[in-house]
Amino acid sequence: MKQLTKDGFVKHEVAHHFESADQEFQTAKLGMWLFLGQELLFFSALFVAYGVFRFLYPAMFIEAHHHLSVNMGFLNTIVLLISSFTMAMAIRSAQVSNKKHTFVFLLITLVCAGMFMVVKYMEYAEKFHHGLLPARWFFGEGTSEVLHIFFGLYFCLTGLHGIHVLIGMGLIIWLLIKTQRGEFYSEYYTPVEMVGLYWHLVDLVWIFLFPLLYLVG
Amino acid sequence: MSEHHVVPIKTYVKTLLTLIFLTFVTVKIAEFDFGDLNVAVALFVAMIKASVVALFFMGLKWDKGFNAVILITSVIFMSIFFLFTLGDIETRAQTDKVEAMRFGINSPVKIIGDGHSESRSKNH
Repeated sequence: MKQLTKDGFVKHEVAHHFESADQEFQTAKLGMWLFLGQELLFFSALFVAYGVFRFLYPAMFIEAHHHLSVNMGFLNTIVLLISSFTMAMAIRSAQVSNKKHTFVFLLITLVCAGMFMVVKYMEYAEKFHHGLLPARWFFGEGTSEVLHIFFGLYFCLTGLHGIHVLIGMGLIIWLLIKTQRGEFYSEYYTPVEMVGLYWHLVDLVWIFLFPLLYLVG
Repeated sequence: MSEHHVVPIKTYVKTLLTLIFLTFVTVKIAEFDFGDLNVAVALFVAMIKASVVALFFMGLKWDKGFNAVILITSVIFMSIFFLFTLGDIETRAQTDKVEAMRFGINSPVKIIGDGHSESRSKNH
């Protein structure tokens, strides 16, 4: 049977190889930042590909970005920003041992992530309909012969980002279950903080994707 | 972990409002044509937004400096990746005349209109 704190939270035991709860937390955070640093480098390969093709075919990029809906991209940007805010609020609520608020803010974050994916699905469906697909699957029309390259980049960049959103949604569901069990309180909220950092990174990548794909022509 | 910095709600609200405002700025400035600087201007605003997210939402402002060092190191390596690759692509044609013409692509695009865009004949 797990020990409970006087407020009814599940008491967190610091792993034996750490000196203190704070050391444990800072270590986890350092590891998370290393992972995020790696994530940035991982995405940078696709951004460099974008840069190279944009340099080679500037006119094609201007034509291609007119196929994307700025309104949809804008909506998704706002939705992700709000979800980042609610995620930050969820962490804060855990810091002050407010179980109910932690749960509600995590739930709003999950709903925002779901909305993002729905909008993304609508955009993808429209691209599929017009044959605006990557590489040899492309069967759309255009004035540029290399138009399919843009959609190769578009689907790789937004697809990889979308996978990150889906993984984030899975992690938030895991957090919701643990929150419900009363595992997060002022003395222990490491998983909430780490998923939060990951979620902000997903937001950060989208901050660059939105202008580069939807706006710059 | 009682020594942890609990950020006031007001700070997070202000951060969100700043980011939404900057998103409007992003959309508005995209309507102006800065010529070759279009991408640079868009990236500049995106960098500001990214910094706001990293400093306030990710808490780097109140964090141990080492986490920021990791982020900055990542960004430096990304810059090296960009500079060397794009430097190569931009200057390759000056030294290798054959390489300069090797961008012919087998295209699945149905061409419409008179196509005053990059055509295959130019690249071959």
